[in-house]
Amino acid sequence: MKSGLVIAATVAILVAAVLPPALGGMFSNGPLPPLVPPPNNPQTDAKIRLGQQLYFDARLSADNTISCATCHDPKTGWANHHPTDTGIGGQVGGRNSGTIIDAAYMKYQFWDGRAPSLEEQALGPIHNPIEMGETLENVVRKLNAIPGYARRFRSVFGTDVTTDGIAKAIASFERTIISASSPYDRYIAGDRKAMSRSAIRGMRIFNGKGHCVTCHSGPTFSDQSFHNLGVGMNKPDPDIGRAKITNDPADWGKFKTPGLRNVALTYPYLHDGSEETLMDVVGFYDRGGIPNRNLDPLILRVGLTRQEKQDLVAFMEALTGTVPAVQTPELPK
Amino acid sequence: MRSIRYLAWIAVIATVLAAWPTAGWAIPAFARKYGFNCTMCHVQFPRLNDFGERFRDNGYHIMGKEAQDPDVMDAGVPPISARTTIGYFNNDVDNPASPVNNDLNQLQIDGLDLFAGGVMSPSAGFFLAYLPKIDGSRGVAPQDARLEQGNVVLIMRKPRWMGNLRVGRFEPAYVPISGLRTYTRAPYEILDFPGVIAMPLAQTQTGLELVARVGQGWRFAGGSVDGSDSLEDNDSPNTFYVRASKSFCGDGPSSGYRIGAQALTGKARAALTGDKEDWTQWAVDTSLVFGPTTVLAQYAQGTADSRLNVFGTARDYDWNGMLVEVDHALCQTAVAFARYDLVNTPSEQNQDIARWTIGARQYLMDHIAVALEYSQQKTDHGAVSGADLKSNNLSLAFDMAF
Repeated sequence: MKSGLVIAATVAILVAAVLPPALGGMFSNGPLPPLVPPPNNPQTDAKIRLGQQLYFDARLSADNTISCATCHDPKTGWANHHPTDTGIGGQVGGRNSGTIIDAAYMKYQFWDGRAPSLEEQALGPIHNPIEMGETLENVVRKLNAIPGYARRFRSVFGTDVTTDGIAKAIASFERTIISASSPYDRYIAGDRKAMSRSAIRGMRIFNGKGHCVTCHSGPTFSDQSFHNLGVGMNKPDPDIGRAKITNDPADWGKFKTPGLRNVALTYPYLHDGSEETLMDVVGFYDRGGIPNRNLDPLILRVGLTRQEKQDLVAFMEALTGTVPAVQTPELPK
Repeated sequence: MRSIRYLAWIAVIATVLAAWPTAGWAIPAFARKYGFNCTMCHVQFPRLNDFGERFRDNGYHIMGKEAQDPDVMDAGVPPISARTTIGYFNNDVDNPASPVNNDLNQLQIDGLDLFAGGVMSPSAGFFLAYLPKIDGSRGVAPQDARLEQGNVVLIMRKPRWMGNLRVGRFEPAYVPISGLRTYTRAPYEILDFPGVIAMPLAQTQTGLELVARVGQGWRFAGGSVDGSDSLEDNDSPNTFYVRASKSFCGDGPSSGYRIGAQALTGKARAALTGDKEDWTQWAVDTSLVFGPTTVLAQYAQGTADSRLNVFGTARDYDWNGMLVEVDHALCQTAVAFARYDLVNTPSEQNQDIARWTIGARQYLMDHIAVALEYSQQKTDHGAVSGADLKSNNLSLAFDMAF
């Protein structure tokens, strides 16, 4: 009788333990919430179309050869498959072009987080001497001289072309480049067949042994913070990242945690594009980054098996969702 | 016949649960709070990995995120866990010096540990481990009530090399291979060995301890604890210790290689004179990870003043011991282990201990394992009866936390 009670207790406890848990916790990765644009830049169809035109228009650059889409190309995951990008006059930049997919959800823009909004980010490359190499005054003058733009700005903003209007229009367009319905999203919504077994194992590694979720957490799979992984710290003159903006020694070598949705589309990886594939990135983390004086305490050598690395890559591939198909628009004359 | 029936029941339950599809997320307190998988902190439950040891050292805060880590009032989940073992246990004890039959051959619930832990503030965390009293009965092993651990960790921010301060009752840093978080039911003999000072290393202690991680792979610890249970007047710390370890290519528990050394000194009360006398211990240890295989080893040596030597007060009491354990991950959800323990006692005591242990754990979920283990121990019984004490221990049980 008492052995029967023990057995019954065993079964009861084990059944309770296997009941599916509620998702939650400080580091949970839920679905993307509905996007709320800033109050000073509400979305309108006309503004979005104007922003799309500006995004694809190389006339925003000094020599009319570089547009936003040059480095953030819809055909290459709204990013670029080069380690770093080539701007005006063939000048090579020092950082990888991040994707604009879901950038609307990010608290900071650029790897060093110097722009707190899409609007501020939009103007940065225009007057960056190694990217588009133009001045904001010249861009305004050029666009005002194009009747199509002058007409559209008056229609959308009630003014001539202004830098504020350029920034808001581009940002409005970028806020439409949102991913949806990845296999992961379908899986956590209840479709247990949405991810492969390898991806499911990878998810457990992501939330466990791999320690990925400690930084890649939240709906965007980014903690919206900055960390030093040691990337580039073994070079003679390393890019010090966020510290250049804040002048805080504690930020030395820190870069923004990028979101991981659609990461399979945006190779190569890390702020300098030094890791070509997702497997390479996993290997970088597995080795514990690159030791340096400010290495993040969350960066530890992991010790993944080859199968575990493959599973982790399969999980990251399952974060690829559908993104609106966007064609190059007809540009105003 | 009954034994076979019990084993069959456990095998059936284990098979059913192994096939049960699960998200594999139902998890104890810390993992529930953060939404982690158990393997964030554990190589496999209960053994801590590199991250888990750092989390423990950091006062149960996520490293670098102390300011955002919600405290127990804001975490949204109760910071409580429990652990128990249920299964079949067969202990065959051959003790010529005792007429009492201590054999065990039954299915039973063995032990219940209650845990609580978490963040009190950005600079303080806590951990509690309480074992409630359980009156033994057939099918339920007895258990005395005790507060096994109850401590607060204060995170010292500046200077960083100061480390963190743990105060209360805890497992000191001089137990780098933890008997509380081991795969085996069989104890680590050198940790359980009381010697003549009645202070097994495995015993949690009350006191304070400072732990600092410095530079590339260095970890330093030092503390003072109440120490020997033979001292009734615990009005002052009696045991002081220091420990240093260096890790390469990882912290050691789950990756890389670690070597450590430590020294302890304390006082114990001599039975004959009632005076406090000195004792010292030192030990070296290593943890080596080679892919799926981990090798743990520790050598310890101790000396107690001759007036503490109840076996022969003519000379100091010297003992030494070692353990070597090899764990091998058979796959992502199974680990096999083998260990040899040895304790050498002075010739006047002649109660050397040798134990070997083998077994395996199959994880049905990250926090539930079915464990099969066989252990054989021999203790020399020289001076008393000339006949050795032997015990054979077999267990097949669910080890679970929830």
